[in-house]
Amino acid sequence: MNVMLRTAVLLSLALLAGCSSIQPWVMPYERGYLADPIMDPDRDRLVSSHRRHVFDVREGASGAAGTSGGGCGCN
Amino acid sequence: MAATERFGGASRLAPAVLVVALLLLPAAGAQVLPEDRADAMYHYYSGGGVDVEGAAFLVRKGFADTVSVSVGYYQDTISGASPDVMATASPYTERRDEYQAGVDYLYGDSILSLEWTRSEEIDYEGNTVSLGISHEVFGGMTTVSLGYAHGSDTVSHRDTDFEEDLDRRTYRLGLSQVLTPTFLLNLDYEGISESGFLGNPYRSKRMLGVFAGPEIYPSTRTSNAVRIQGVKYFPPGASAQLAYRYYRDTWSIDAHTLEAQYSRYFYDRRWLVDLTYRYYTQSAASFYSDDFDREFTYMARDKEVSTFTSNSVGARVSYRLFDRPGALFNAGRAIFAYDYVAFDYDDYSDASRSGDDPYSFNAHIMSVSVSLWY
Repeated sequence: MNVMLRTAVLLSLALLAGCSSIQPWVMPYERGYLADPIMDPDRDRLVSSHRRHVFDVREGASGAAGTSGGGCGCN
Repeated sequence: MAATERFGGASRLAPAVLVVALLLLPAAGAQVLPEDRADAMYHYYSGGGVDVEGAAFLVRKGFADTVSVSVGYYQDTISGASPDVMATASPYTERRDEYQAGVDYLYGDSILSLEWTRSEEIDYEGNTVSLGISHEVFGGMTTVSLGYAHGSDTVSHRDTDFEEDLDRRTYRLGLSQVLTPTFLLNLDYEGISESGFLGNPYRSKRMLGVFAGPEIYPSTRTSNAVRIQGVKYFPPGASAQLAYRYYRDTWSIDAHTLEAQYSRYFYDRRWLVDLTYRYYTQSAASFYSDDFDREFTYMARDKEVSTFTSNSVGARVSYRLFDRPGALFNAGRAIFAYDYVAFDYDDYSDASRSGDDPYSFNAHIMSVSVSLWY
């Protein structure tokens, strides 16, 4: 578990710090569709959190049910 | 092994990683804070002998283009009782109030978030503080997010002086990747480590057909969940989402969740309709039994840790009330959401009925809300 978590953390730091030399292949002006609210699964936060809460208290599993946040890269 | 021991190193590491990550970030960027928005919602749930209803509010306001503050309130009133409780207790009415406050700070390509949540019931109190950071890289094509949350709960009993603590640490890692101009891929990991009282003070175990004293739960639980989600846009105004989540914990619960959604605008985008399907299945905890034949170290009869499957279909309809750019309230929407869920248990029976047929029930989840942008 610890090895997995540490690997994930190191990978994240690598992404955060050093991978900016890779060129983006979807230009900002091509991201109009991605910016549409219809692409955001969590666009109505109250509604989706209510639904998630109902399942969370009735199921054994929980976690990783939301989205990563952001994501369209269209700003 | 205690969950806190497993996560001992990681729990010390998590806050430091967030700070280091923030210091590494370049200051020039293009992320934006969430929109200024206010939501009011009425919600309702009915199923398995339990009714839950209440109101919720969420207000978000930005300041100086770098800070966004949110406050929220969520209330629900629970009445009735599930078969677990009915087996040894009486129906009840209970109210829960949840308060939430958060602040997001924009710094270059990153958003740093801090959130506090407090939940109050007559027999349960929960406090959670969470810290998160999301950062855009690869020219905005990738968003990486890290999060850590610490929860401290107190579990008590309405009629006795029973009181126990529960400690919860949550670790989140997310990656959102633009793959094409119409396709997004989201990957999420969440690890949760809990220690303390993890059972339910109102429920009893059953042995040789007789309800015989309180359940005995382990005092630790560690879970890992990973989720992959793809979102595809179909011009001129539709999208489809498909997601799969795998969950496993130290109680030997394995769970699979599959979700599919199709969304589409109608009538010049005035209407937005989402259709959803969700499939969920899990295996039982290693210490679960509907009816034990002898004593064990840990013994539980909660249907939440039994073997079961659920299927749900739902729809969400969003209607644009007005659209007035430049006005104080520049847009408004009304949203109606409904889900029908069927729960089918493999190894749990309703003790209030004769026979050992597996229990099943259907539930309705509904909400009506209004959202205003300003």
